[in-house]
Amino acid sequence: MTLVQQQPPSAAQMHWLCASMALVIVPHLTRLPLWAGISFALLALWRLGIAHGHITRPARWLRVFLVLAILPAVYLSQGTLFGRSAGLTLLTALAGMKLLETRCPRDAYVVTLLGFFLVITHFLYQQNIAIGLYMLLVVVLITATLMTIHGHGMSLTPIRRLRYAGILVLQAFPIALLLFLLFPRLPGPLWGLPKDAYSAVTGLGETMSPGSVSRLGLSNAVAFRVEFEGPPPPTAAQYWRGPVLWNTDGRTWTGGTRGPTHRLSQGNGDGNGIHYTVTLEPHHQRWLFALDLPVSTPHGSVINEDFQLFKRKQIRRRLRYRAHSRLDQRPRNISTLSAARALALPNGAHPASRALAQRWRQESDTEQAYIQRVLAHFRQQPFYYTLRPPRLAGDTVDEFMFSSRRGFCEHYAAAFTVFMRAAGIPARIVTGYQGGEYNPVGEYLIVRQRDAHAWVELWQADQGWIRVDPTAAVSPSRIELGMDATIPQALGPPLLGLADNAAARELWRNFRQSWDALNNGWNQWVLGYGMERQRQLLARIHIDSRELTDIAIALIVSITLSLGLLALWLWRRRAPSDPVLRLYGRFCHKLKRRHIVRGPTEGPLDYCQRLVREHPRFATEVTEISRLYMDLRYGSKQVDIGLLRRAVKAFRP
Amino acid sequence: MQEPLPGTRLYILPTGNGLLFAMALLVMLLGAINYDSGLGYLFTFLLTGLALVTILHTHRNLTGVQLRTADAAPVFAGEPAIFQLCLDNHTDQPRQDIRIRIQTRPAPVHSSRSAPISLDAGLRNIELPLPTHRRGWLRLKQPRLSSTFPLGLFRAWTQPSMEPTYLVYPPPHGSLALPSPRGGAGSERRGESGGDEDFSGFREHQRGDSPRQIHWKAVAREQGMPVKLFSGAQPRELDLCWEDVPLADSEQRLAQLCRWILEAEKQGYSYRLKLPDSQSVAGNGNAHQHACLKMLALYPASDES
Repeated sequence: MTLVQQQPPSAAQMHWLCASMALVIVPHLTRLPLWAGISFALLALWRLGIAHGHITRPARWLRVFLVLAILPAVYLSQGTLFGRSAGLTLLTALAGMKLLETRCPRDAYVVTLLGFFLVITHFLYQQNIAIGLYMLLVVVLITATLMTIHGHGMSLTPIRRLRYAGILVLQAFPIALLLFLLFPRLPGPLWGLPKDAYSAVTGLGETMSPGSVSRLGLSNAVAFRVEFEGPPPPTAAQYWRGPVLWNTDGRTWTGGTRGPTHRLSQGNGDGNGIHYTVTLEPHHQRWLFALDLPVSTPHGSVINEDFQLFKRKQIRRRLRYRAHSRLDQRPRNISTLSAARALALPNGAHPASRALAQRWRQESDTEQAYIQRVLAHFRQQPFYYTLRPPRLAGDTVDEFMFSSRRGFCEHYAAAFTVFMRAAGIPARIVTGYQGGEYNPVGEYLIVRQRDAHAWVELWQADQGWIRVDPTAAVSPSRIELGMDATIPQALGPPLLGLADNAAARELWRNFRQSWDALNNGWNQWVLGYGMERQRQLLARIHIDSRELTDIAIALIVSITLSLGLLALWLWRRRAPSDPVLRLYGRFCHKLKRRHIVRGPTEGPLDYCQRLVREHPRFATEVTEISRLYMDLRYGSKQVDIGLLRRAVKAFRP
Repeated sequence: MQEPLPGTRLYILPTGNGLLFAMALLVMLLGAINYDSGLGYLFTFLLTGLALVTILHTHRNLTGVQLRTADAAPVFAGEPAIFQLCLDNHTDQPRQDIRIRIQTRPAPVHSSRSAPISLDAGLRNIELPLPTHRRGWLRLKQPRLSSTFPLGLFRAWTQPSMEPTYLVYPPPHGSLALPSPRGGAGSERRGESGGDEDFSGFREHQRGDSPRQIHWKAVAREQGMPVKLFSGAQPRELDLCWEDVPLADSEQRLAQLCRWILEAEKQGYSYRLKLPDSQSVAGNGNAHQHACLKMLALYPASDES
């Protein structure tokens, strides 16, 4: 309605708007199709050109055309109009168009709202500390922009506007924290997530073939972190049990145990053993990892015959579970059916290896002697443990055993299993992780993808399934000291030339560990704060997280309280700082005690006249004080404030 | 703490933009829940906190600001009335973007809003114009002080308990010449004086004669340019009578009377206004003119119109 609001945003206001939109979109550029980024930049530049009077506004037909072109463009480049990346592209294109069309403060306001939306969209892709801090700055900038486009605080300098916005965000933080901790967390998605919600992650697969584990060897991505409730076991004993593989077609190993899954009674977990909590990064599989051998099932999970732990659904988000394992226990169950499976080899595969195995078995007196002979073969012959094994084209096991002799753990495990089965010893492959890096800063173990490992379990009638790790025969340091010691380049400082400097490596290692400890805290408390953590936290302050009324009361009370505290702080020092005003206030207060109250809009002159009329007995004093006050406050005359002070002090109504 | 605005309440409600913001927050929250995004939750709640915090800031921006005297000098209908307002900031906290709105009470409603006013400690004078259309007393609603500072999500407003009124004179219109002056009671007659009272004859036009005294009808008949001569008393007196205005519409009569009053004042006559129900004393000067114009302004409107 008012003239003020209809004014188009000034050039300065458009600068703020364009800058904050550009900064919120920049981190998205790698995810956006090229055309979206470029057209956003062009639209923003166009609008800036208009603001400076260099270019004219686009014609109506052109604007209509551009808006109509958005949907087909998104569909053509993304193949869909739904889902995360199509939605992001759409939002970016709309923000660009709205920016170009900005003609009044309301338009500019809608653009800033789109900006806030775009801030949130970043967290559907990545949620690390860096993007969090960056977006915090962007939020401050958009808030300052919001002040700017309303024409608010245009009397403030840009710096002071930014400062004011920063203070607002800072003051909003306690409330954000309360809402974050107390707002009831819901499980799972509200509606079906679009297909592209989960991008591919590196991690251990359901199957194993040559190269499937070694491809993880260079990945520093965290698989899971473990906090031990006691001293951590030695590295050589840290076998993290994952999928157990029985079947092979000669090249690829697959699982196969679908048998009834069940829970292990907590009774198995008597006081002995190792208790620990695992924080598992989402790997979009159902299984959990546990220290070999788990003796009880974590909350909400089941275990199968192979002592592999499972959740009912795929793990889509970071999962925290407490587990219990015993290093001295072995699986002791085998059925006739699974015994047969543990001996099966595909017909006609690995003829050379099978012949050698059978010859060696005949030459060995006992199974033990045979096993030792095979391991000795790995140890004594020129076998190499390498992250970059040559590609195996023909019969994978025969070629590895007799010609390439270079392999990663999956090659050794597969070959060893074939040798065992060929000799009539039931064997299966266990995949998982081995070792990890202990972080003394956060006192937890980090297990990374490069710690992925495969080993073998053999059935011994008297001992059950015993673990044999053929990789240990080839590269004992891999098992004793972990990957870091074996292939140190993997985690060296990124600067060339420093990789061999011991001091630099040590420094780098400390930095990396501190950084990971920070990330772990972030993961645990910011990203991993869900229903379970909320339940624990609320239980500590005696609130049942299932009682929504209790939570609502807690939320309302705490937020009101924090707003109240903020109000107290904001309203501090509200007494007038002007001594003249304060003296006059004291004068009015003295009269008020005599029940002579100054009217709400009564000016000092009106008040004085009324006082003189109604209370002539102190007319002189009132007139004197009022005159001094008005001269001091409104007049240009130089009056000594001491006169007013003395007059007010002496005033006794 | 000094009472900032004794007796007046401060209200605060979300603006349209604020409601839009709340809806956006809801959508963000749904997104955060659906994608189970911890940072999504955190930032949605941060923006929620931001909105809540601005309630206090918006409120604080207006408390302790007083509006004083809102009066306008009388104007003629059709001219804008200029209101003199004064904002008084009792604290040393600077205020941003306060808007004042004044509004006439009876229909048709006219309102006037100020541009955003920023205010350091102390006083600030503001002038706000309002269009006028009808003569008489016009009352304003309580002026409204409002502010949406800092983010425009909430609007705080207060209406100080004052009801400013202003007087609107009728518009000075009409083409009729001033009525003839009459001789003052007991004054001696002076022949061929330059006075304006009683007609005494014609003479030829001389330089310096008032065009009002030219006998235009004779000019039209091409009989030279005779000038009407009057003999009158000093001081010259005029009776401005309702009955002397040969117009049917009473508003037009008032407009004509209004113009006559201005005319008479300018020419230094001592004039007397006679309305059907009242009359003024004869007189001259600003106060007298105002009294007469006020009589016109407040003359009861005719029922048939």
